[in-house]
Amino acid sequence: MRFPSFGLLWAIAFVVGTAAPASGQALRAVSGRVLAAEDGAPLRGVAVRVIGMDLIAVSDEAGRFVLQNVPRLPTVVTFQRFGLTDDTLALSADQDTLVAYLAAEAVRIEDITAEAAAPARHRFEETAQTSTVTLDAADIRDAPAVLEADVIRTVQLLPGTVARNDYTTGFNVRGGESDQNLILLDGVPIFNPTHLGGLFSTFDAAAVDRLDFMTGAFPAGYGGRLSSVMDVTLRRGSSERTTARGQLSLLSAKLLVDGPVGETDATYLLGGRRTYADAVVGAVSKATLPYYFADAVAKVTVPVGDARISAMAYWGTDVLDWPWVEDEPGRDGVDLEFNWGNQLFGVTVEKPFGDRILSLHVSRSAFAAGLGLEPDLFRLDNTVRLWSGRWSLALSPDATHDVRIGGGVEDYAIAYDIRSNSLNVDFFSRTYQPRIWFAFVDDQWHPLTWLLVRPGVRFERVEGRGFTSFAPRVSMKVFVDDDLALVGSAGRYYQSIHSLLDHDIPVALFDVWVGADEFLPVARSDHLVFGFEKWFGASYSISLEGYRKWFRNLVIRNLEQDFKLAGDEFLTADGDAWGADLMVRKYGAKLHGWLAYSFSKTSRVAAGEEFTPAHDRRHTLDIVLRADGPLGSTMGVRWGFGSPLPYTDFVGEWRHREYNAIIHAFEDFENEPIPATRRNRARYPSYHRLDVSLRWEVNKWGGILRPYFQVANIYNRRNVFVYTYHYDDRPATRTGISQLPLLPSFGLEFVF
Amino acid sequence: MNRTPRRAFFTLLTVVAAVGGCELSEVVLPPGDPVVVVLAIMRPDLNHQWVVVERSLTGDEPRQSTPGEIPFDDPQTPIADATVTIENRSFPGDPCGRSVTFARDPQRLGIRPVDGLYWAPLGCPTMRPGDTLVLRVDASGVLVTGQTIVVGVQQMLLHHGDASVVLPGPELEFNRDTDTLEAEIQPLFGRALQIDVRRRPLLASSRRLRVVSLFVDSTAVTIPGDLVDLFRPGTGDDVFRAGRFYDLSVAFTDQNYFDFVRSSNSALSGRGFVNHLDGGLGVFGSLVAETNPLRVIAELDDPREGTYRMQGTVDGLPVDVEWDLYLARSIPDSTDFSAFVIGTWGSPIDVSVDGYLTGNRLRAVIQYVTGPGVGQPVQRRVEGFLSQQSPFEVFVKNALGQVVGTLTASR
Repeated sequence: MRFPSFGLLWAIAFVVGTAAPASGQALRAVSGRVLAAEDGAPLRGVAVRVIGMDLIAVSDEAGRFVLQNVPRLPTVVTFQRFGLTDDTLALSADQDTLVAYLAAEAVRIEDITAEAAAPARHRFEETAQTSTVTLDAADIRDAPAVLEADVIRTVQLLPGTVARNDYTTGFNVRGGESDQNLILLDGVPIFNPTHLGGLFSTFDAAAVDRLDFMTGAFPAGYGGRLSSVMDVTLRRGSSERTTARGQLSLLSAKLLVDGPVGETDATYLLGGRRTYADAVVGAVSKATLPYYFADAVAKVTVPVGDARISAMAYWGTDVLDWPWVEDEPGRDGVDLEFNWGNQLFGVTVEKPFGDRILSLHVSRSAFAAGLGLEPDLFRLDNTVRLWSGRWSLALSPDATHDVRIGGGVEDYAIAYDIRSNSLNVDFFSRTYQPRIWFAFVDDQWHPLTWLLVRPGVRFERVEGRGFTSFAPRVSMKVFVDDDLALVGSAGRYYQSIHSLLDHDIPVALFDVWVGADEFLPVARSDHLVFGFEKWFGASYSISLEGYRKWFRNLVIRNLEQDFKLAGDEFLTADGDAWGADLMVRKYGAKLHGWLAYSFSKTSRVAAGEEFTPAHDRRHTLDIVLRADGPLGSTMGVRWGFGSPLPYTDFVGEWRHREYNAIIHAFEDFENEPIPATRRNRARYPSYHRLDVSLRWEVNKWGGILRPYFQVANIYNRRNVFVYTYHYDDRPATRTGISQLPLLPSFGLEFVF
Repeated sequence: MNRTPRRAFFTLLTVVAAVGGCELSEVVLPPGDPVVVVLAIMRPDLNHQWVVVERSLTGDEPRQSTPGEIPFDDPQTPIADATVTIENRSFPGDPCGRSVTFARDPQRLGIRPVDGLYWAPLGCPTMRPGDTLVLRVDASGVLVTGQTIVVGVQQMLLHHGDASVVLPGPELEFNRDTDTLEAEIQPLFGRALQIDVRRRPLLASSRRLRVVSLFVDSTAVTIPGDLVDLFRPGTGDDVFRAGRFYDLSVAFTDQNYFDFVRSSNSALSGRGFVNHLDGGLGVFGSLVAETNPLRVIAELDDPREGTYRMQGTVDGLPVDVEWDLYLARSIPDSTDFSAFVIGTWGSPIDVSVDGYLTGNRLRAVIQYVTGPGVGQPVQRRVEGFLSQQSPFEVFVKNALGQVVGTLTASR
């Protein structure tokens, strides 16, 4: 297996750079902010245009924008966004900064297309970054779902991703394992973003503002994972008034409140949800359902002068409390107590200094899982804790460069402890404590009007492993015309924490995280991406990217692990993947959605065995549309197709007998499968499924009611989840369990 | 750890994950690929070794779900005419020969030759702690080989309160409410500790019902008297019930047996079993074990508990026994109990009985042995109303419900 020469790529970048004309001499970069006239809150997604020129920028979440290549002449700048009053400001020849205050206005439907397309068009025109899709809250809310809208389920419908089955929110990106996805909630990594064994994600879709999903060659500011970044941004609370919104579904009840903090400029958002099946079952019958999950999220944003401080917190838990052996008079019972969940906390301070912006971020992310047969019979505890501190400085040394430099530290503490106090036995105890220092430089460079280059480099030092890495990255975009660009990128990525799942098993409650140490290596991946992006007016875009990835030192679970041997818990694997991703997007009020097609081929080599990993899906197609539906509804439709996934078929069973040492005899046995010699040599049938949702919006009682009805798997396709074999039958037979059958659901959203 | 809870838990997860799923239609498969399965547990503490050689299931065999006890019952899919040898590589001068060949004939009273079972000559091969044994099985051209290191212990101990007993020791009286047992191995060679607690049957040849099995990667384990049987979710039961006899087995095992017990192939991936054999599946391991009898008692905290003397005639035989009665657990409308019955029931008797009380109404089943030699098991029902103050009568009935005797009982 060969690896691309990064020296060559850097040489190309260097030559291009030195060949750039001194075009910045008569040009300037104009930066500024767009704020709400009512409360001074930053406004995102405002299109900022220079009149008479083809120059446009879109404000980010902090309301900031940068217009590049503005001639140093008096000119006029317009500010436009759906739902806001347009504004126009004069820009003098010596002026390099602008602040605009926009007021809210009544909605004009015809602007929806431009507004929805604006972030994607802005990304097309202004960034060299490839392999990126941005979804907003409506995209997530309106995609048909099982029971209720789900952030990760929507990501699974994007190009480059493979979702192995309906029962897991885990996903594989461009041939990578599911632990290679960096999932951030307001910049804080979250380790196991799922409830109910992966059936639902931890994110409350109503609290999400936007989601950026990068399937490869992501910039130097991101590190720690090999395959993708899913960056989820929480909504800021409304600065105008207190709003309560909620949802009642067959799964859970949720409530989200946001608004200004008193008479200050600060805003808050506070939400929570809980499943209630346990309460319903208990109320209507004597039976008990010993499981529920709950989560809560909060975000506070406080402007301090021209700086902004925002803090977020997230708490989630799954609880299974089962009376394993019931209490009886004179004897205490045994409870099975199983709970797991994430706790996140993060604070970000952003302070502008002229055209520079300093950002400081401190966060704590923790995951804890505990399984106990109580009191004291058996206890398994797993904790994962990450303290993270980082800083970054955004600066524009001249009109063609938009540079970010930064650094920080990530301090992990991962622990496993399995013991029985009653039996006075410690079965297993292990800790991993990697500490990672990092620094990066990332430059968005616009040397020519038809060329964007984004070189960057990330350095990492992994304490505990004694490992230092140098990860160069570069993205390039060549504009053939205003609406067509050729793109390419390459990068090297390292990952110091890994999940020891058996990836051949299609479901998992949560990841089993371990960290680099004297035994566990740091995994590496190299990405190479080429493609193009084409726009057809403001309504359609199409992108096609081919990619190649190489993997080194992937850490996979050693099924023959000897618990007494440190470093025996894993095997290393190498591998590669190649393929192509196509995405066609339609922006508009009447019809909105996308078509995503992915072709992929993936292989692995571990312990001298070459095999196809279980997520090697050759073809994946998802069509997601939102349009006017019947009875005045908004209709969402999703049809997904996946070509066969690999699995290991069974060629027989053997009697795994139990030995009785008292009488020196074998007695009972359990039949166990015998797998085929070649791993994952067989393939399940193709997967396909059609989901439809209908939503209505009714103004009632001074608020908005949104009843919805949706049907998952409307033609009841029996997609295979797993096969079960019966070689103790004569003749041998095979049956199986399907994935989700036809599943109707309904619910109600409300906003007051 | 025992595989059972792990499997139960895994099954639970699968059920939860597949809660919305439907069963797919059945497909007939062609016969699978046969694999040779070899099961060989060498016991240096015993003088008669045997090896099971059988086929895996391929869908070509009649369905058989009865486990049986091998070597007392036949393997279900035996491989006959295999050649089985074991060589002690650490003992070139082994008086058993350089390589010991196992034969179909057990050369042992009471055990008949059957296909798939291969017996070594008595006392062979020679096994000393730390010796390396090499197994070679040729099954119709399929060669299966394995290797193990013979386990050895200096001694096995049972700590009971302040006292320690070297196994095998005398019967221990064990108060389940107040006592804790600690099994400890002082090892020479080996890996893990296996504890089996089984209820002692009336007849030595009867099957011992396992009440708990602990498998720990350690040389010591503590067993509290009030340990609950975790493998009966919901209903549950105490591992130790007062008024019963138990056999507690302490075994020290090698790495191969340790892996054989602790691992299994997943029903989803087919992988997971740690196999140390080449050319086949199974185990070639070794262990040493000792078994100690336990007599379990408890604190008396119910007025119905305690000692009752019963005298009279049953089946024409004189009966004079004492019942040490202990309540177990309550279920709606009744309370289970067990009792030691000691004395004369035609002949000397020292057995345990189970029964239940409904209020003061007693119903129990007693099994005892009559006749010379191994004797014949007899089962009788005992019914009556307990009284704490005055003597009372209990009736003994046969299987047809006919009264075969009356006993007068008193505290």
